[in-house]
Amino acid sequence: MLDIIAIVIGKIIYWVLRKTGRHGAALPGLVVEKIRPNILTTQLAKLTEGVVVISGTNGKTTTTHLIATALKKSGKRVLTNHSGSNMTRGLISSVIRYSNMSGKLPYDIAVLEIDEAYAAKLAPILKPRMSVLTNVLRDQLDRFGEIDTTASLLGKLASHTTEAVIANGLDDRVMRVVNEQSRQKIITYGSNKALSVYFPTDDEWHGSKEKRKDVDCAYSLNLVDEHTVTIGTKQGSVSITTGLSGWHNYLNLTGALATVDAILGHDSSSYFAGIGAPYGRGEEIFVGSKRFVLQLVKNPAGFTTSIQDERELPALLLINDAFADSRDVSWLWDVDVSSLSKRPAIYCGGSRGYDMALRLKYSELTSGYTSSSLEDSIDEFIDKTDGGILFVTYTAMLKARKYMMKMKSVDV
Amino acid sequence: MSVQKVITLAHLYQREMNIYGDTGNRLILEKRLQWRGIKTRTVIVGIGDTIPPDVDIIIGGGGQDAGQLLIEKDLLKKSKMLHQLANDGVVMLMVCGLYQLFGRRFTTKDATQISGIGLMPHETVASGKRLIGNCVVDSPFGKLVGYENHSGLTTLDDQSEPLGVVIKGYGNNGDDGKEGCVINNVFGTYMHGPLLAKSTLFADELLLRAVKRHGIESLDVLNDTLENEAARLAMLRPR
Repeated sequence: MLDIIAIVIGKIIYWVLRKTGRHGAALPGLVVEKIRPNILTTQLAKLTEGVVVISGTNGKTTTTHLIATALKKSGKRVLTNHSGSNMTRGLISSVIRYSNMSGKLPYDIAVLEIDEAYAAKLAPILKPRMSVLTNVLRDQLDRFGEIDTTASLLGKLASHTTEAVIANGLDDRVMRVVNEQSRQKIITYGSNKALSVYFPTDDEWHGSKEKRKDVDCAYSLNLVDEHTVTIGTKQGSVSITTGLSGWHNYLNLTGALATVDAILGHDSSSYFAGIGAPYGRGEEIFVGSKRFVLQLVKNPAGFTTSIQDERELPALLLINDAFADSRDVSWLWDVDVSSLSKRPAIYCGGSRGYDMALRLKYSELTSGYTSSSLEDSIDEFIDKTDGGILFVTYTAMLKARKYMMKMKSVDV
Repeated sequence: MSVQKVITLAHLYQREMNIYGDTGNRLILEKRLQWRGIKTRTVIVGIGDTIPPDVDIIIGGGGQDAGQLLIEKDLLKKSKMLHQLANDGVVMLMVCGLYQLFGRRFTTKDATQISGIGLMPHETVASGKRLIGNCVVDSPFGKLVGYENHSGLTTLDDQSEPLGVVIKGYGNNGDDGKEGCVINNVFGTYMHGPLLAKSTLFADELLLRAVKRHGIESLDVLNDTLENEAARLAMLRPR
């Protein structure tokens, strides 16, 4: 009964926030957590097909989006959380929002992206049926302290998973914790050797001479031709026409396929056809007839991989330094920017746009236009190019997206 | 100026102590020499490797605790050589973790004493808090602009010279307003950023001290418009 009261209260707060035009994702969760600390687990435990948790440094949002969308297409009722709200209060808010007034969650399965630290904390009580471990990269060290600590957090998630752990076989740190800490079935995903160069591990990234251990992955990204991705599985090869772009997204797709195959118990590749990118992760925005792609960058390895996407297009690098972006911009110097050299133009903007331009200068690259104003640099980029790709930090992504969406209808 | 001269840079423990972009300092020093027509040679000095005896500049950065543990013993083995090179006037820039280990001692939270190589007159004690944020320091080599992220608190000996005075940020210990340490041509600092990116007067001071040993008395002026603008804007950012 208390659960129902808590949910109703949460729903009222949610409704008031909406009415007053605010989108506080965490506030209803904060209040309900105070009333019923166990609400998340008690509500999720009612789902007949359990909980799938996606965690890791990069690729959480896209992988979650792919798994949830494919499962929906297969006919399941899927509860999922939306990007950014991957910590406890955000999750509780999602559960409140989607519970009905009698306290029931009208879903079959939950597919949740959860931040590494919270995943480790919630895993013993959530007891996920499956967990997907994407990678461990240098990101947000301010919060977790050390990369090896981050890896052990994923190990904890794996050890509390009941059915299967879906692990990125190209990431040595992920494989190490999975092998050490979980006794569950392990399903690996990765790529063939030729494509693995697109997915450097954090250590390779930082100059380690140690060679990555070759893992013969159960699901292997083998070929990408235009928008058709070919993935080798133990049952043979499948092809998916995808709405995604970017190498890391093809790897996310491989992991998502492995997961949904395991959930459904049969080939699920047809459900992935045409699924596009979530918010800001390779998302396309048309301004007039010009096509722009938004690509989120958060850390050196992700940035270095991403800047190889659509290499012939002009690029705008938008670097902000709000808390969600990383206040420290030192990491830009760990990015290998050399692959930008072939682009017809590079522009820099954002509160640390000048730091980005400076980084380029020391790799003998020139920013054609630099501004500390995000809006000015977007205006210039749209004006001077026939379309291009934007590499953006988190808050720059939110701002750029909003700003460009407003322009969509305007002819340029 | 002689264009035949080759300046040798050694990067200490690049593999073990490599977070927070300090490798950028190496790139900046290399380019600022090359743009002036001076050739460079860079040697990565890892565990078990020997420091080239003809080295001109040695740099080192911050690392994770695991990295620090890995290098401790090896650094002590290199101590004698580093002292000798420092006496010879070799320029050194040590950031964060290696700055700490260049001092006499580091006391961890469980009171374990870790020996440094004692090249710099200071000691460090681990603290429970992390000193994180943008950092601006007034130094004899212009304003230094960077970012600090450390939990060790370093205290200099009474008579020793800091790198500068904190204008924004915490510095060595958040208490005495001092940042970094200088002894002859050896410089220690907590500032990442990388520090030299937006502190070009200091970068050139290091280079000038290094090339002087080869009889080069001055360095050509470079166009630092971009560096200065980036520094100006960074100084306006909240801590």
